[in-house]
Amino acid sequence: MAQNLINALSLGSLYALIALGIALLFSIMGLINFAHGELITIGGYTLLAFHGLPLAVAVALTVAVVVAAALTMERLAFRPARGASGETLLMTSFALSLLVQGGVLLKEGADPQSVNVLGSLGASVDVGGMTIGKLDVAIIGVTGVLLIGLAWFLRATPLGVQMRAAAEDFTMARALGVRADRVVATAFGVSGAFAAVAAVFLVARTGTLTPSMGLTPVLLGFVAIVLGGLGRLWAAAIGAYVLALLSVMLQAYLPTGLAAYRDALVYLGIIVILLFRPHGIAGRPQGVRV
Amino acid sequence: MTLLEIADLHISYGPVDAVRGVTLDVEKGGVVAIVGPNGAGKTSILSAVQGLVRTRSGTIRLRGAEITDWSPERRARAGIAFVPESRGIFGSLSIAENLSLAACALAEKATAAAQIERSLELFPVLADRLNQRASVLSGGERQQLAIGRALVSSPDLLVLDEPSLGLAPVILDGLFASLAALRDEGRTILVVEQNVSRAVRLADHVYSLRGGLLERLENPQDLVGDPAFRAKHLGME
Repeated sequence: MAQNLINALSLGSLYALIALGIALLFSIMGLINFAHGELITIGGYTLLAFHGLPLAVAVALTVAVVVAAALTMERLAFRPARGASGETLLMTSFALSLLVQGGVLLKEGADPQSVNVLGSLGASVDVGGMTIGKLDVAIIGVTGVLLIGLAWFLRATPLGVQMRAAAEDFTMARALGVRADRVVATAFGVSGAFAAVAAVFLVARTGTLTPSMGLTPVLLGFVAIVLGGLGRLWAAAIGAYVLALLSVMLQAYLPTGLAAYRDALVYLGIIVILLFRPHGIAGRPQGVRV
Repeated sequence: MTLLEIADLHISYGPVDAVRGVTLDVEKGGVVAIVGPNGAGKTSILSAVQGLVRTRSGTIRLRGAEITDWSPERRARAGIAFVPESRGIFGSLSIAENLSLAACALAEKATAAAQIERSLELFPVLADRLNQRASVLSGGERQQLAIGRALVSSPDLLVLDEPSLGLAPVILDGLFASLAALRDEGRTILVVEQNVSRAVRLADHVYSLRGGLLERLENPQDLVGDPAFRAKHLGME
């Protein structure tokens, strides 16, 4: 049981990094950013490009490249569309997603590529009879530090307070003098940094890269956000951990004959939760953005 | 000196013309009130001054500089503070955080603490509750926070949309006493208000807006109790 909880925490941390990156932009701009998956893809291939450098250096460079990619997306694609309808922003993110996927496909080809970035993190340690992978410890620990760092940033810095205000009422925040460009760019930067770290852990777990590798994680991120509830940033993280818990527990305890239905049962569980909590586990009713 | 100049302002929402050729000057240190029935276009004018709605034509100038195409945040930093009808309070933020937000429009960031202190002196009810979430405030307290927050940016022009809306008479007395104090210290105020008697007592000049057209009222204090005036300018029988 404890072993499964560790697994769920690890997987939930990965989902939380992805979900928070998406939720941050949605809360401020009303943007459902499908291109977030491509930031993960860019992160994965950047890590491959820097393979061979010391892990810390490769990770730092990956974060820098993905943050730069996120800021470029904001400047070139989303800033011109700011203030447009949610549908327009969604289409913009779809177009961007396809564009980046096509670019990666042209440059890297469609074949999956393998990379081992684990190094010493591939080992396990025995704790009280449990076998805990060092990678799981790293994922849980790093995510914990990032979540605490984000919470501190949002609570204790003027820019963080401005971002929370913008997430509640962007128009009013601007009317008070909050610079829209700075707040949105910061949100994209943080979102990119989280996507980069998620990419590193994703590649470390799977060891495989494909041009569409960001698609499944970003879909799971959206599911986590809906499950946690819209309207509160931290609800996305809660949704991510609950999603992972459902997934891991079903994986562990489903009879062998039903194992193929695991994902279907995960989504059934989510539907049941949403029946009782239509606004998500920790969400609140959403007004219409006008 | 003219602080705000609105010239031939037109605002449309689809096929509906909400504001039709409004021209209005607000002198520095003056208080201008706009009265009128619901749907007359009053809020649209104020929103245009803050840059929250797109104008169809016309110009808006602040201290002589055209600001018609400026973003809301640039206008805030240029000295316009807007208190919307909804109050615009951030319920998930503390009262202190709400107040500190307006400091980002200050040219001199170092004066933020002093500006917040001044707002708290004007609205002392906020001072004891700085760390509470703003969502717990009553309607009157929210209005005090909204105006107090607007003053933190030390604005040249305070723009108020229906400050009396939804407030009990006893709270209104205190609120309008505070606004009168701001007027007396030389603040420039542009206010939209449906409570005509209070608007008339507060303002130097009163305008009536009907169907998107603005008309200056001469001797408005003589008109407050006049049923014909109320029917014509406020849509009240």
